[in-house]
Amino acid sequence: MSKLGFASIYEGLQPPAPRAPRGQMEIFGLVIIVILLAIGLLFAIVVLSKPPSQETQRVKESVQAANFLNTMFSTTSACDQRTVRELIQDCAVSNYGEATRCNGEDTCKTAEKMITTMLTQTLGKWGKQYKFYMNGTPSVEQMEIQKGQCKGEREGTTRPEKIRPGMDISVTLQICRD
Amino acid sequence: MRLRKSYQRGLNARPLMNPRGQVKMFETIAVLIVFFFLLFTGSIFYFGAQKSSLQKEKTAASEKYAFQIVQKSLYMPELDCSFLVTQKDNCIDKIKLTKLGQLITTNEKAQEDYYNEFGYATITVNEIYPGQTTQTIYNNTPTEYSGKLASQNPILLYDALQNEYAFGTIEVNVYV
Repeated sequence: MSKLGFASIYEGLQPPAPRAPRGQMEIFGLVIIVILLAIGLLFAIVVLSKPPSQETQRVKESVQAANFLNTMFSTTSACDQRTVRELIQDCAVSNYGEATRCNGEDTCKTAEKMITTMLTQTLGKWGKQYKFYMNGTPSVEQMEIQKGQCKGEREGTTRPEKIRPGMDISVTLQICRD
Repeated sequence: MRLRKSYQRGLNARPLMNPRGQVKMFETIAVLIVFFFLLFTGSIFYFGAQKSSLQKEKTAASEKYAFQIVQKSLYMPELDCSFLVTQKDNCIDKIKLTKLGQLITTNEKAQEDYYNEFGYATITVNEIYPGQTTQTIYNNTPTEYSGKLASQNPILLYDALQNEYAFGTIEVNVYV
């Protein structure tokens, strides 16, 4: 047997050489790259899925709703120069359709018509959905004016209105987003 | 002859290019390509996100500015409805409104003064109930602008001659 033959047999008998550190380093590098990619992806998802802040819009809508109610109640109607507040006060203590009549309609109907016009010409024209309603007496509760579904997020205001001592109603206007 | 053979063997034993070295070089180049590709993609995304975030902030700031101008115009002492030194909320006196509109349109000094308050904007008052009228108080539109932010608010319009309140809106368009 030649010298070369012995050497190859000897090499075959040797235990397998330990894993090269270079291979380990490569795996380690790959793991780091994968971790970095995962962090980058996570950052991207967080940044892209962050909803834009609508704080200004909310404040604006809230102020709009409050100003609407404030303005609406002080508006003078064609019914003997009474304000909408006075019409509602009269309506609240009567049955719907049976309140004091002026210009052929009772105060409830007159107030509802005026409020509908105001809402349509303002919030309706500005492309907003809204819900207006009152609570306190059966006649004012019948006045519910709504545009759109108003089932989602909304901004609005509720204010109490005195009808007479010991009798109050609450008036609500909500500006809706969906 | 023998010497020549051994010399030839020596030349053959040492190849001109080591294939292992080449592989290593390609590997390094590939790693660099991947690294710069990732760096480039990452930076494109990062700067894109930054740009979009800045744009959002700019829009939000403009919206706040427009809202500020609406609030200023709602509480202008030149237009308020005051009775016995008591100011009524959200109310504009119709007579004062007409006079102020005329003053700003005709007087350059007044225009300059109000420019400091409202900047590039248009302020319009619309009567909705019972009448349907429109009146512009202030109009300063720039020749070039990238956007217009509109903001409206309901307002009372007081007619001192009839002692009546009409329902109206104040509309502010701010140019940015």
